[in-house]
Amino acid sequence: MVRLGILAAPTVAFVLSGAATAPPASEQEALISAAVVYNIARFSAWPETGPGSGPARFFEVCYDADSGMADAFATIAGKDVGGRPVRPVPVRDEAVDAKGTRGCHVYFTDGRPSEALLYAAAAYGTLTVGRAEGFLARGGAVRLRIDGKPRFSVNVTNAHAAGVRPSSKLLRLAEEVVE
Amino acid sequence: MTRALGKTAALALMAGASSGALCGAHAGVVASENAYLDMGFEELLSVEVTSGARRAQAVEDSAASVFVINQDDIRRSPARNVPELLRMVPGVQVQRLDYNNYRVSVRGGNQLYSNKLLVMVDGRSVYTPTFGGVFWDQHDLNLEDVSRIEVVRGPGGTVWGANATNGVINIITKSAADTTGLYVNVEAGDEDRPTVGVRLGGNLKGGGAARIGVIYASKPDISPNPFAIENLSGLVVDGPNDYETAKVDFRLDQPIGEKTTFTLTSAIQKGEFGDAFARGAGFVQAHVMGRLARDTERGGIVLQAFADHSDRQTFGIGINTNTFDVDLSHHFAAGRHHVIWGGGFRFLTEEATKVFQDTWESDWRASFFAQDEVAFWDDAVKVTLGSKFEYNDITGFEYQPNLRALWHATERSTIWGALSRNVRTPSRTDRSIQFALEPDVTTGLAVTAFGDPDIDSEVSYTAEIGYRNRFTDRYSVEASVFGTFYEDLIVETANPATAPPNFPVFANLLRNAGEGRAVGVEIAANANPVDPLTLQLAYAYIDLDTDQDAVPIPNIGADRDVFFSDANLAQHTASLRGTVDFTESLFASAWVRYTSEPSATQLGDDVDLDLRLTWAPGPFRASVIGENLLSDDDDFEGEEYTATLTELSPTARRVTAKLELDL
Repeated sequence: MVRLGILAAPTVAFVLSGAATAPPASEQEALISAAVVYNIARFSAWPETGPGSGPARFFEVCYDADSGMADAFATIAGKDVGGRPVRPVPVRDEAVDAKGTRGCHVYFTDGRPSEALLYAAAAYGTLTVGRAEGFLARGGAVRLRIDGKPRFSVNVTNAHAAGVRPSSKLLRLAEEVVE
Repeated sequence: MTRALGKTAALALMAGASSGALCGAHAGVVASENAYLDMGFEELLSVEVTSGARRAQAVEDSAASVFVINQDDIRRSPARNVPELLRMVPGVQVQRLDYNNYRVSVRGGNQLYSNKLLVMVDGRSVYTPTFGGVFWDQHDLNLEDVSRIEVVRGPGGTVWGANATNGVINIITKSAADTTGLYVNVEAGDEDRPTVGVRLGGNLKGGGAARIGVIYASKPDISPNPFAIENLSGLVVDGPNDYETAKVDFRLDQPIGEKTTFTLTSAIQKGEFGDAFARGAGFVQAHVMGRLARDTERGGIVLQAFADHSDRQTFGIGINTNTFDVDLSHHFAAGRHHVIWGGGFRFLTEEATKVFQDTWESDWRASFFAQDEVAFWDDAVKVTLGSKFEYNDITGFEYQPNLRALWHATERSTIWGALSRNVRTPSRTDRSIQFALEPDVTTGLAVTAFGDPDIDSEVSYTAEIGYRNRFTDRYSVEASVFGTFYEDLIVETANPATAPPNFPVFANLLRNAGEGRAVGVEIAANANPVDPLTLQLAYAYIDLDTDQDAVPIPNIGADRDVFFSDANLAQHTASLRGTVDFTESLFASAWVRYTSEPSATQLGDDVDLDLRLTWAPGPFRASVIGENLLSDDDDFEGEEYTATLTELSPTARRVTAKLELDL
């Protein structure tokens, strides 16, 4: 009893001694997000024709230019999705509003895009992946959240609207599947 | 980099990348350095846990026996409520006594109110201080709203506080943002009259979301009543045991700015059931809880407060409890340290119509805890040290320290060990129960019971060792071995001094006169040999031995349900679950369970089988569920309540149709 009591003491000392510098968690989160997005793409069936018009040479993964995700998405450049090499493409906010996400196979966003934008993206054949709460209800296809572990939910209807068919494995691994 | 490098490599790499950033080098990450890309998808999504250390943590990273029941497990399982789901966890024993009463225990002491197990819903304790335990029926949940159930076997007192001696179960419900739309569940079968659950959720202006849910269940009378009592003259006191409950619950999640989320949950539930004593038994349960969670640069802060009201009439006693609780916790990373600390205050009032020495009492307690996890060798080794300190107005100062260490031995395997000291504070029953039965004319025997206001907490010391290996993405295993010593166990002792010669009136005194030891092994294994098939095995062994250095009660012995013993405990339990996806919309699961005979019963070993077939075209899901398919109608799960009371419970075969609509 006494022995354990003494062991408890350093804990309090650690708490009181304050904090040294710590690495930010966001870098790791960004890398995990990119890896999850890549896996989601890999475990989905994509139409032969690319988003927009005509067959695509690249598998374009678009993301908000100011999201700080550039380095993370750079790590999936050149990886294979359905026979096409991945090309990460930063998209500026203004461009997203003006042209939708034409040409993007996947559009990853940290923000809260409008319903109109999400439905337009689906119409252009883009699979939308977002992190905002209620993303799926507003027309998004996949919601990603990292809360200690990466988790994602799929709105199958919204994915189908973009012509993308999530595999059974993807749906099985999803935290939630919304029809 | 090769795929085989796995998680440890990823962690090491992360550490390297971050230290580069700190040295002022290029802050980004070189294109090819994303170790997460070398993992299989399952590995990447490796399970996360908050209960182990009160913050998000991967199972691979927790130095404790942790089991997570996730959405997929829930959706495929034949189990239709939380206690039934808990049967899949090794080391957890579940007995269904009747419609609304379950014995749920972790690592021993399988009692109606398991007083060494802390149960929480969204971090709100539902442990009742009157009997010490959980009224499982007062916390009905729509399973579709449950995000996951985290079960920590073994001591959790350092972070979670008293009464988590042998385990912590944290039931976590989904954020309202994840339950928008309409959901309807109807279950009907040869036992249930229709059970109905409806939930409606939607998004709010400003990014928030809210949901409201309703549950209604009604069950017919079955005979005999499991709580029927055979009194000392052999007269059976039985009553109807039909059950009816209705619940309304509400949850709101509202982001406040970028970093803060406000959550409000509230529920009111009413239940009515028969028991052997009274026709009008039942309960009203209500709570409201608010929580503010804020992400900070290096961690997070959670402030939560709840008020809980419970009014339960059972066994002829009315107990009215009000609890008020405020709790704060803060975790942050600091160099190689990850610190979590916090404190809380709880005040409760309790009113009992009879059998307690005082009709009304109020108690309070204040607590503080701190725990530090220190990482060495690029996170390959982590050592955790911490303690909870609590002051309550019943037993005074209590402390609950633990020391844990974890070693990522290879990229895929982890070895951990832990030492902890835990306390179980006396319930109100232990302190102030007071009842006397009239002397029986035939036997001349009377029974009285007295709690002891000066009774102390029970103390336990636990040592654990565990091993995990994720051999491949498709096969994994984990095992733990534990030993616990119990001191000052509260037992019922005879007081011969009060027994007049030739007329044995026994005054049963509750005293800290017991001690015990438990050793056990728990194993969980998962296999996913081909995509459509998963197999999950759980096995547990426990040997619990309790003893008392006081005069036991004649005729009653040490097997009373309310005291810690192996009377209702199965030494061996095993469970094998299999799920098969025939097509994307047609899947099935089978669940075989084995329970060895509890020592104080003549029930024999039990093998049972549950099956579920689900067809899910679009937003509509239809399931057929068969439970206890190997049982005879007269097969019971409960057993003799004591030597003089009979208690029987149907685990009769039952088949249920479940229809769900999710829009």
